[in-house]
Amino acid sequence: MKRILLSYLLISFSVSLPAQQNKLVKALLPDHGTLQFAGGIGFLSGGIGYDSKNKRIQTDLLYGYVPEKLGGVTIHCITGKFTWIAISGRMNNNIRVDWLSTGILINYVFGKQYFFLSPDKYPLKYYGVPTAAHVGIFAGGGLRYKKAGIYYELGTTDRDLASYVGNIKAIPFFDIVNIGVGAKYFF
Amino acid sequence: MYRILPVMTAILLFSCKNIMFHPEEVRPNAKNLNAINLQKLQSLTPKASFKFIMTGDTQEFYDELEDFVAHVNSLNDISFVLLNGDLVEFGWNNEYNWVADRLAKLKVPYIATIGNHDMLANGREMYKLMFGQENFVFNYGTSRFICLNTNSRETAFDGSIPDMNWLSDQLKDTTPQNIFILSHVPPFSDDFNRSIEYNFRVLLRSNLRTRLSLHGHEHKYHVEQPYGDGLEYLVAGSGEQRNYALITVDGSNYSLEEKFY
Repeated sequence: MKRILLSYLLISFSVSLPAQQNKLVKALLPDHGTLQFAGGIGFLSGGIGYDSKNKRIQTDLLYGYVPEKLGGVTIHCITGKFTWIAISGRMNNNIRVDWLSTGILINYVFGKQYFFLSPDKYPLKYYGVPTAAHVGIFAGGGLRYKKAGIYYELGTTDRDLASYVGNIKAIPFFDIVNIGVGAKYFF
Repeated sequence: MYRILPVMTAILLFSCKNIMFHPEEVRPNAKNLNAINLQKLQSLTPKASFKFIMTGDTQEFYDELEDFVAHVNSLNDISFVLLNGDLVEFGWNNEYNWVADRLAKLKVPYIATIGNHDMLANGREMYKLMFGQENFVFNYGTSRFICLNTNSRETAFDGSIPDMNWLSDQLKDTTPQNIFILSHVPPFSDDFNRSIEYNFRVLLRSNLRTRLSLHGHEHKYHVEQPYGDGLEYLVAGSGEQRNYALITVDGSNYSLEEKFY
């Protein structure tokens, strides 16, 4: 009885929604969910994202967390991420290999020890860059099976890159590379 | 598709060093460096006449730092190296570790004080783990070195930096033949708590064994007596200038030289 009532309510609700509104709801629903390990945006980061129709362009909004035990301090942060699948090939009906992906991300870390806008205690332009945000660039690849996918990324940050460029002799390129791996589920 | 799996596995396994959870994480690759180096220093027989180096502001100058380390290792009459702070630029993990990796190659003991840049973000936590206390003293022979945090602006001039009570306690001891002060921001800087500048410089002079006050921050080598009270202040050494101060102590006399590498 309960089930019938629920189905009736659901049907009448969806019927009563104008078609346009339905479309809007559909467009607002995320295209995939993401869970990532490392990559400079958290021990674990998770969130949702939207894709282009062919899934060659994928965006993510991720919340990241580092426990004190692993990171020395507890870190909470958010990340906006843009990935472009540059080279991709279908193996068969179910399997697709993303040979090369690349992208950019911006990360914001929460906490009063970081600043985005220069605090009042400093004169104008005292420190050149905000400590609460970093930009990352990355390249990697992945594998998709039906609606699930896994990926890896080799990335670096704006600050790492600045250190490297200013110290070509002393800093090995490998030292500025960080690794991230993750999984996506496409709805 | 089977080609990508071994690649991914290899990437996962190749190095834990390349696992960065977040740039602001605090994962020092060396700990208690000041304590370890002081132990090294104390194990040596102190000379009555000795030379030491003071430099700093090595922030983001790793090429220069490597050259500095090689240069100091080529000298054979240096007892120890003092770093006056601003080891790093943004106070974050990679920078501290890169600096520590390079300093580890120094053959002589080195002691580091904290600079304003070292305090950014989680820098204070990182400094504490990697080097130790922000205010500390050590002896070499009959000379005493008082090292302290003078980066007042970082705590918005709230009176906590420098710790005047602590400094006053250290300066009560008149047993050392010489007292040297080491800190990053000199008291005549706008980044020092100007409301206690007078008290600070009078305090330094309250102990007549105080010979010299050593600083950095200004990226410009200069020696002066800004208060005309007989106490010299030396501001020296930064990465991009490839310079350092060579201090020779003989009895209760000292001499200063600006050196380049």
